[in-house]
Amino acid sequence: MRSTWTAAWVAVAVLVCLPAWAADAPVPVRIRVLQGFRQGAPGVPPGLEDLRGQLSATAYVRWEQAGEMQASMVPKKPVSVSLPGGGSVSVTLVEARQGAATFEVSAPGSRTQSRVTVPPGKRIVQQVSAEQGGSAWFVTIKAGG
Amino acid sequence: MRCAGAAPLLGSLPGELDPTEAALLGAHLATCEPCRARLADIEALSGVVRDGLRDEAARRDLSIFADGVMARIPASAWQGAPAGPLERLRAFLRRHRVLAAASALAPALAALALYLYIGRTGGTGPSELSVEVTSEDLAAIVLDTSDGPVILVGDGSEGT
Repeated sequence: MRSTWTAAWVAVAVLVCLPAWAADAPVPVRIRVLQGFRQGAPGVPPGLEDLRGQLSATAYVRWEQAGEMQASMVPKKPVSVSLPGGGSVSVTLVEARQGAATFEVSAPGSRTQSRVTVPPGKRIVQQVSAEQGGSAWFVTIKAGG
Repeated sequence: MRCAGAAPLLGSLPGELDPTEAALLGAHLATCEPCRARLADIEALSGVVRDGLRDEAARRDLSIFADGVMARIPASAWQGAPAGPLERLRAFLRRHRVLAAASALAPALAALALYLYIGRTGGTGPSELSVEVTSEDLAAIVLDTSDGPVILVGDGSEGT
Protein backbone atom coordinates (compact mmCIF):
# COMPACT_ATOMS: atom_id res chain seq x y z
CA MET A 1 0.00 0.00 0.00
CA ARG A 2 2.77 2.38 0.91
CA SER A 3 4.53 1.66 -2.38
CA THR A 4 1.33 2.47 -4.26
CA TRP A 5 1.09 5.84 -2.61
CA THR A 6 4.76 6.52 -3.18
CA ALA A 7 4.53 5.62 -6.86
CA ALA A 8 1.49 7.82 -7.28
CA TRP A 9 3.08 10.84 -5.71
CA VAL A 10 6.31 10.32 -7.62
CA ALA A 11 4.25 10.26 -10.81
CA VAL A 12 2.55 13.49 -9.81
CA ALA A 13 5.86 15.14 -9.04
CA VAL A 14 7.33 14.05 -12.36
CA LEU A 15 4.33 15.25 -14.31
CA VAL A 16 4.33 18.59 -12.54
CA CYS A 17 8.04 19.15 -12.97
CA LEU A 18 8.36 17.73 -16.49
CA PRO A 19 7.13 20.81 -18.41
CA ALA A 20 9.38 23.16 -16.43
CA TRP A 21 12.33 20.83 -16.83
CA ALA A 22 11.66 20.40 -20.55
CA ALA A 23 11.41 24.16 -21.05
CA ASP A 24 14.90 24.71 -19.67
CA ALA A 25 16.55 21.61 -21.08
CA PRO A 26 19.46 22.22 -23.46
CA VAL A 27 18.53 22.13 -27.12
CA PRO A 28 21.04 21.06 -29.76
CA VAL A 29 21.22 23.74 -32.40
CA ARG A 30 23.13 23.62 -35.66
CA ILE A 31 24.37 26.99 -36.87
CA ARG A 32 26.09 27.44 -40.19
CA VAL A 33 27.69 30.53 -41.67
CA LEU A 34 27.29 30.95 -45.41
CA GLN A 35 28.39 33.42 -47.97
CA GLY A 36 26.18 34.08 -50.94
CA PHE A 37 27.30 35.57 -54.21
CA ARG A 38 25.22 37.20 -56.86
CA GLN A 39 27.74 36.36 -59.55
CA GLY A 40 29.45 33.14 -60.52
CA ALA A 41 28.54 29.67 -61.58
CA PRO A 42 25.18 28.92 -60.08
CA GLY A 43 25.22 26.05 -57.69
CA VAL A 44 24.88 24.78 -54.19
CA PRO A 45 27.75 22.73 -52.74
CA PRO A 46 26.93 19.16 -51.76
CA GLY A 47 27.19 20.06 -48.12
CA LEU A 48 24.41 22.59 -48.49
CA GLU A 49 21.98 20.41 -50.40
CA ASP A 50 19.57 20.41 -47.49
CA LEU A 51 19.40 24.19 -47.86
CA ARG A 52 18.71 24.24 -51.57
CA GLY A 53 15.01 24.98 -51.16
CA GLN A 54 15.70 28.11 -49.14
CA LEU A 55 18.84 29.27 -50.88
CA SER A 56 17.35 29.03 -54.31
CA ALA A 57 14.59 31.40 -53.23
CA THR A 58 17.10 34.25 -53.07
CA ALA A 59 18.85 36.23 -55.78
CA TYR A 60 22.22 34.84 -54.71
CA VAL A 61 23.34 32.14 -57.10
CA ARG A 62 26.57 30.78 -55.64
CA TRP A 63 27.03 29.65 -52.09
CA GLU A 64 29.90 28.70 -49.86
CA GLN A 65 29.92 27.50 -46.29
CA ALA A 66 32.36 29.45 -44.14
CA GLY A 67 31.75 27.90 -40.77
CA GLU A 68 29.60 25.64 -38.68
CA MET A 69 28.96 25.07 -35.01
CA GLN A 70 26.89 22.72 -32.95
CA ALA A 71 25.66 24.50 -29.87
CA SER A 72 23.82 23.08 -26.93
CA MET A 73 21.65 26.07 -26.22
CA VAL A 74 19.56 26.83 -23.21
CA PRO A 75 16.90 29.52 -23.23
CA LYS A 76 17.99 33.11 -22.73
CA LYS A 77 21.71 32.30 -23.13
CA PRO A 78 23.02 33.95 -26.30
CA VAL A 79 25.63 32.33 -28.48
CA SER A 80 28.04 34.45 -30.45
CA VAL A 81 28.80 33.41 -34.01
CA SER A 82 31.85 34.98 -35.61
CA LEU A 83 31.72 36.03 -39.23
CA PRO A 84 34.83 35.57 -41.37
CA GLY A 85 34.37 39.02 -42.78
CA GLY A 86 34.53 40.54 -39.32
CA GLY A 87 31.92 41.09 -36.70
CA SER A 88 29.67 38.56 -35.09
CA VAL A 89 26.08 37.55 -34.78
CA SER A 90 24.29 36.86 -31.54
CA VAL A 91 21.87 33.96 -31.53
CA THR A 92 19.60 33.46 -28.55
CA LEU A 93 17.22 30.61 -27.98
CA VAL A 94 14.21 32.31 -26.46
CA GLU A 95 12.25 29.15 -25.83
CA ALA A 96 11.81 25.64 -27.09
CA ARG A 97 8.50 23.96 -26.66
CA GLN A 98 6.93 20.95 -28.32
CA GLY A 99 9.68 20.82 -30.89
CA ALA A 100 9.19 24.42 -32.01
CA ALA A 101 11.92 26.87 -31.20
CA THR A 102 12.00 30.62 -30.99
CA PHE A 103 15.28 32.34 -31.77
CA GLU A 104 16.41 35.91 -31.60
CA VAL A 105 19.14 36.83 -34.03
CA SER A 106 20.95 40.10 -33.63
CA ALA A 107 23.17 41.08 -36.53
CA PRO A 108 25.00 44.34 -35.91
CA GLY A 109 26.49 44.17 -39.40
CA SER A 110 23.13 44.66 -40.99
CA ARG A 111 21.61 46.44 -38.00
CA THR A 112 18.94 43.81 -38.08
CA GLN A 113 17.25 41.99 -35.28
CA SER A 114 14.80 39.18 -35.73
CA ARG A 115 12.65 37.01 -33.55
CA VAL A 116 11.60 33.88 -35.35
CA THR A 117 9.61 30.89 -34.24
CA VAL A 118 10.10 27.86 -36.42
CA PRO A 119 8.09 24.66 -36.23
CA PRO A 120 9.92 21.34 -35.80
CA GLY A 121 12.14 20.43 -38.73
CA LYS A 122 12.22 23.97 -40.14
CA ARG A 123 15.30 26.10 -40.48
CA ILE A 124 16.03 29.81 -40.39
CA VAL A 125 18.17 31.37 -43.08
CA GLN A 126 18.97 34.95 -42.29
CA GLN A 127 21.14 37.51 -43.99
CA VAL A 128 23.33 39.02 -41.33
CA SER A 129 25.37 41.53 -43.28
CA ALA A 130 24.67 44.17 -45.82
CA GLU A 131 25.62 43.20 -49.32
CA GLN A 132 29.10 44.26 -50.32
CA GLY A 133 30.61 43.60 -53.70
CA GLY A 134 27.83 41.31 -54.70
CA SER A 135 28.06 39.03 -51.68
CA ALA A 136 26.56 38.85 -48.24
CA TRP A 137 26.84 36.72 -45.13
CA PHE A 138 24.10 34.46 -43.92
CA VAL A 139 23.53 32.23 -40.97
CA THR A 140 21.30 29.21 -40.89
CA ILE A 141 19.83 28.01 -37.62
CA LYS A 142 18.11 24.74 -37.01
CA ALA A 143 17.05 23.31 -33.69
CA GLY A 144 17.67 19.64 -33.19
CA GLY A 145 21.02 19.63 -34.97
CA MET B 1 -38.81 27.18 53.48
CA ARG B 2 -40.64 24.68 55.59
CA CYS B 3 -39.48 21.25 56.72
CA ALA B 4 -41.57 19.53 54.04
CA GLY B 5 -39.77 21.54 51.41
CA ALA B 6 -36.35 21.08 52.94
CA ALA B 7 -36.57 17.31 53.42
CA PRO B 8 -36.04 16.33 49.77
CA LEU B 9 -32.99 18.57 49.63
CA LEU B 10 -31.22 17.19 52.67
CA GLY B 11 -29.58 14.27 50.87
CA SER B 12 -28.23 16.37 48.05
CA LEU B 13 -24.61 16.02 47.15
CA PRO B 14 -22.32 19.06 47.17
CA GLY B 15 -22.97 21.19 44.09
CA GLU B 16 -26.20 19.44 43.30
CA LEU B 17 -28.40 22.34 44.46
CA ASP B 18 -28.62 25.63 42.66
CA PRO B 19 -27.54 28.71 44.66
CA THR B 20 -31.11 29.73 45.50
CA GLU B 21 -32.03 26.29 46.85
CA ALA B 22 -28.78 26.08 48.76
CA ALA B 23 -29.41 29.48 50.33
CA LEU B 24 -32.97 28.62 51.33
CA LEU B 25 -31.92 25.27 52.74
CA GLY B 26 -29.10 26.87 54.69
CA ALA B 27 -31.46 29.46 56.14
CA HIS B 28 -33.92 26.77 57.12
CA LEU B 29 -31.30 24.56 58.73
CA ALA B 30 -30.07 27.53 60.73
CA THR B 31 -33.45 27.78 62.45
CA CYS B 32 -34.73 24.17 62.36
CA GLU B 33 -33.23 21.76 64.82
CA PRO B 34 -35.17 18.68 63.58
CA CYS B 35 -33.94 19.17 60.06
CA ARG B 36 -30.36 19.58 61.25
CA ALA B 37 -30.73 16.30 63.12
CA ARG B 38 -32.15 14.60 60.04
CA LEU B 39 -29.28 15.94 57.94
CA ALA B 40 -26.81 14.58 60.45
CA ASP B 41 -28.47 11.16 60.22
CA ILE B 42 -28.36 11.17 56.44
CA GLU B 43 -24.69 12.12 56.37
CA ALA B 44 -23.84 9.47 58.88
CA LEU B 45 -25.78 6.86 56.93
CA SER B 46 -24.23 7.78 53.62
CA GLY B 47 -20.82 7.66 55.22
CA VAL B 48 -21.48 4.21 56.50
CA VAL B 49 -22.71 3.01 53.15
CA ARG B 50 -19.81 4.62 51.36
CA ASP B 51 -17.27 3.11 53.69
CA GLY B 52 -18.98 -0.24 53.53
CA LEU B 53 -18.98 -0.31 49.76
CA ARG B 54 -15.37 0.76 49.64
CA ASP B 55 -14.38 -1.97 52.06
CA GLU B 56 -16.34 -4.53 50.11
CA ALA B 57 -14.75 -3.39 46.83
CA ALA B 58 -11.34 -3.59 48.40
CA ARG B 59 -11.94 -7.19 49.35
CA ARG B 60 -12.92 -8.16 45.83
CA ASP B 61 -10.20 -8.88 43.25
CA LEU B 62 -11.48 -6.93 40.24
CA SER B 63 -8.43 -7.79 38.19
CA ILE B 64 -10.09 -11.08 37.36
CA PHE B 65 -13.03 -9.15 35.92
CA ALA B 66 -10.78 -6.87 33.88
CA ASP B 67 -8.74 -9.81 32.61
CA GLY B 68 -11.90 -11.63 31.63
CA VAL B 69 -13.18 -8.67 29.64
CA MET B 70 -9.85 -8.26 27.87
CA ALA B 71 -9.72 -11.97 27.12
CA ARG B 72 -13.07 -11.78 25.36
CA ILE B 73 -11.83 -9.18 22.88
CA PRO B 74 -10.60 -10.96 19.72
CA ALA B 75 -6.90 -10.57 19.07
CA SER B 76 -7.50 -9.37 15.51
CA ALA B 77 -9.78 -6.57 16.70
CA TRP B 78 -7.29 -5.58 19.35
CA GLN B 79 -4.40 -5.43 16.88
CA GLY B 80 -6.36 -3.39 14.35
CA ALA B 81 -7.96 -1.09 16.87
CA PRO B 82 -7.71 2.41 15.41
CA ALA B 83 -6.12 4.90 17.72
CA GLY B 84 -7.19 8.03 15.90
CA PRO B 85 -8.57 9.46 12.66
CA LEU B 86 -5.36 8.73 10.78
CA GLU B 87 -5.27 5.16 12.00
CA ARG B 88 -8.93 4.72 11.08
CA LEU B 89 -8.21 6.11 7.61
CA ARG B 90 -5.31 3.71 7.20
CA ALA B 91 -7.45 0.83 8.33
CA PHE B 92 -10.13 1.85 5.83
CA LEU B 93 -7.60 2.10 3.00
CA ARG B 94 -6.16 -1.31 3.93
CA ARG B 95 -9.62 -2.76 3.54
CA HIS B 96 -10.26 -0.92 0.26
CA ARG B 97 -7.01 -1.18 -1.61
CA VAL B 98 -8.48 -0.61 -5.06
CA LEU B 99 -10.23 2.53 -3.95
CA ALA B 100 -7.07 3.77 -2.29
CA ALA B 101 -4.99 3.13 -5.38
CA ALA B 102 -7.55 4.85 -7.58
CA SER B 103 -7.70 7.88 -5.35
CA ALA B 104 -3.94 8.05 -5.24
CA LEU B 105 -3.60 7.78 -9.00
CA ALA B 106 -6.42 10.19 -9.75
CA PRO B 107 -4.34 13.36 -9.42
CA ALA B 108 -1.54 11.76 -11.39
CA LEU B 109 -3.90 10.81 -14.20
CA ALA B 110 -5.47 14.26 -14.12
CA ALA B 111 -2.05 15.87 -14.40
CA LEU B 112 -1.12 13.51 -17.23
CA ALA B 113 -4.34 14.28 -19.06
CA LEU B 114 -3.79 18.01 -18.67
CA TYR B 115 -0.20 17.68 -19.86
CA LEU B 116 -1.21 15.67 -22.92
CA TYR B 117 -4.08 18.04 -23.64
CA ILE B 118 -1.79 21.05 -23.55
CA GLY B 119 0.73 19.23 -25.69
CA ARG B 120 -1.89 18.28 -28.28
CA THR B 121 -3.61 21.62 -28.51
CA GLY B 122 -0.41 23.59 -28.39
CA GLY B 123 -1.31 25.47 -25.26
CA THR B 124 0.64 28.67 -25.14
CA GLY B 125 3.59 27.16 -26.95
CA PRO B 126 4.63 28.15 -30.42
CA SER B 127 3.56 25.81 -33.19
CA GLU B 128 3.26 28.14 -36.17
CA LEU B 129 5.89 30.04 -38.06
CA SER B 130 6.30 33.51 -36.62
CA VAL B 131 8.77 36.09 -37.86
CA GLU B 132 9.42 39.58 -36.56
CA VAL B 133 12.24 41.53 -38.12
CA THR B 134 13.45 45.01 -37.33
CA SER B 135 16.16 46.69 -39.34
CA GLU B 136 17.43 50.19 -38.82
CA ASP B 137 18.65 51.06 -42.30
CA LEU B 138 17.80 48.23 -44.65
CA ALA B 139 14.52 46.86 -45.81
CA ALA B 140 13.80 43.40 -44.48
CA ILE B 141 12.20 40.77 -46.63
CA VAL B 142 10.89 37.47 -45.33
CA LEU B 143 10.48 34.60 -47.75
CA ASP B 144 8.39 31.75 -46.44
CA THR B 145 9.60 28.51 -47.95
CA SER B 146 8.63 24.95 -47.22
CA ASP B 147 11.88 24.46 -45.32
CA GLY B 148 11.55 27.59 -43.22
CA PRO B 149 11.86 31.34 -43.45
CA VAL B 150 14.53 33.20 -45.35
CA ILE B 151 15.20 36.67 -44.04
CA LEU B 152 16.92 39.06 -46.40
CA VAL B 153 17.95 42.62 -45.95
CA GLY B 154 18.63 45.08 -48.72
CA ASP B 155 16.75 47.14 -51.20
CA GLY B 156 13.99 44.60 -51.62
CA SER B 157 15.06 43.19 -54.96
CA GLU B 158 16.53 39.90 -53.71
CA GLY B 159 13.43 37.79 -53.70
CA THR B 160 12.28 35.76 -56.65
